[in-house]
Amino acid sequence: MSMLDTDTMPSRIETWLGANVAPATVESYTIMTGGFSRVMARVDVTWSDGRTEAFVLRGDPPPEIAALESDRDAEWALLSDLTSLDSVKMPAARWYVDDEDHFGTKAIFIDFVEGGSLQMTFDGGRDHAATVDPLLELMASVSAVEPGQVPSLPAPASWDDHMDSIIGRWRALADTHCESVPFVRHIAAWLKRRKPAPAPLRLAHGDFQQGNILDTADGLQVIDWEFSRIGDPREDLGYYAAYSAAVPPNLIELDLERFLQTFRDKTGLNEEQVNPLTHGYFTVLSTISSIEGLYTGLAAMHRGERHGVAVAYNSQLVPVGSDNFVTAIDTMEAALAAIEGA
Amino acid sequence: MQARPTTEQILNDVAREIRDTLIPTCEDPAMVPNLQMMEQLLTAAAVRSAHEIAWMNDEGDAAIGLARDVVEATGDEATAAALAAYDDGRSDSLHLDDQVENYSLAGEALGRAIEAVDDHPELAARANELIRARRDTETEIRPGFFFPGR
Repeated sequence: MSMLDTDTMPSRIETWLGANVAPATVESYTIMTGGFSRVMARVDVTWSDGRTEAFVLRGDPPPEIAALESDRDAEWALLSDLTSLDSVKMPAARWYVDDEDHFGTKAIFIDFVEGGSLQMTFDGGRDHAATVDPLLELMASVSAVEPGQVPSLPAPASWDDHMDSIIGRWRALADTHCESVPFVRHIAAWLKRRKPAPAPLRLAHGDFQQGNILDTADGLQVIDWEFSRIGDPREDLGYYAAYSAAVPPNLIELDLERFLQTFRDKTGLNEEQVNPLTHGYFTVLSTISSIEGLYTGLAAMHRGERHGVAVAYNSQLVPVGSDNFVTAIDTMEAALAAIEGA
Repeated sequence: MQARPTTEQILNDVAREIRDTLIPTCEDPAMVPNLQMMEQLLTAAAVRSAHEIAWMNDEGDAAIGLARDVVEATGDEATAAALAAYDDGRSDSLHLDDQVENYSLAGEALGRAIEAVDDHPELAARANELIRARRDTETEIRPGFFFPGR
């Protein structure tokens, strides 16, 4: 069975809640759209005392149709740290079901928060310019979290170690994929050549994009922490730029200098650390976890281990990334050439 | 074998059916992104079926040409090894699996060459051109791309 089994999931959830939280009736169980890598369902519950609550249940798809892989144990540990910390706006994590016998997957209960994704509210007409400040406020709140505040995430020994490790992951991807990927070798070589000034290590969300931001009555909230790590605070900024170039709107394009100045103001980073050139660098570097996942899915499909539309669709997403990276590299090299020629 | 309508035409027609008939009448909001992905994948497969062997051959020849020049100019061992693997493994068969293997071997030679040309601006510029040509081909394979369901 899996979380996609909508006939049996309500009773399974009632059994688990009854044994671990309190007796409850599941009023509805609805698979949610928008979860590309994980299965998510809205669960509406009436407790035995008459209170009602809604949750998101987040688990893994059946392994053979998984588009991306990530670790629910690690995600739960981080969500627990962040829920306790209470400094980043996000739906609170409630309970963890680590025994796959219950729902066919490890699964996390998270508070359901009313509101669509920021991507959806942009589609519905939300003002782009007015969203820059709250978006950066949210991003900076993530970047303000220091390694010691999220003990569940391993911290690199140093910024250099962290950067070398990420560049090494790009190179390892090229070494191990089921076909040659000269794009990836090109990117890894460029990242090594153009390493920027260091910055303090902080929490990086790892998939900070408009589809993972909820637009709620209480402001913007960030979800989907499966690719989070301790890293450079510029990684989320770069990832946002890379992703929203492919899935607009890209709020950075409204006014790059102002966007970066606001990011500096909110994070305390200086102009040597955050400028158009370092921004271009992190636009490329920061996507490694997603890119690894996409390639892993395609390789598994090639070996006959996975199937399904979402896995096959990785073949559409990889070239989008490559296009963005080449554009970012070209832009940065042109800027550097102008500086060196001046 | 029957060759007309071509594979490209058949795949494009199925994609059109999904786009124009199935998606507008689908009442399951969770299924619509899946159908949109299917439509994009079929459209991409149609483009590939029409051109991919020619594209892979052209790109592969250019990559091998560059890699040979890089080995001559730099003596880079990794590029030389990738070239040797290409020379040993290259097949004249037109079957797709064989063409894909040729392309992969040529791509590895290109990738290794890219890693070796930092100090050779002219070769680096040629490598950049090949990477950008590859990017342009990939863009052609995904007409009308958007990310369903986000």
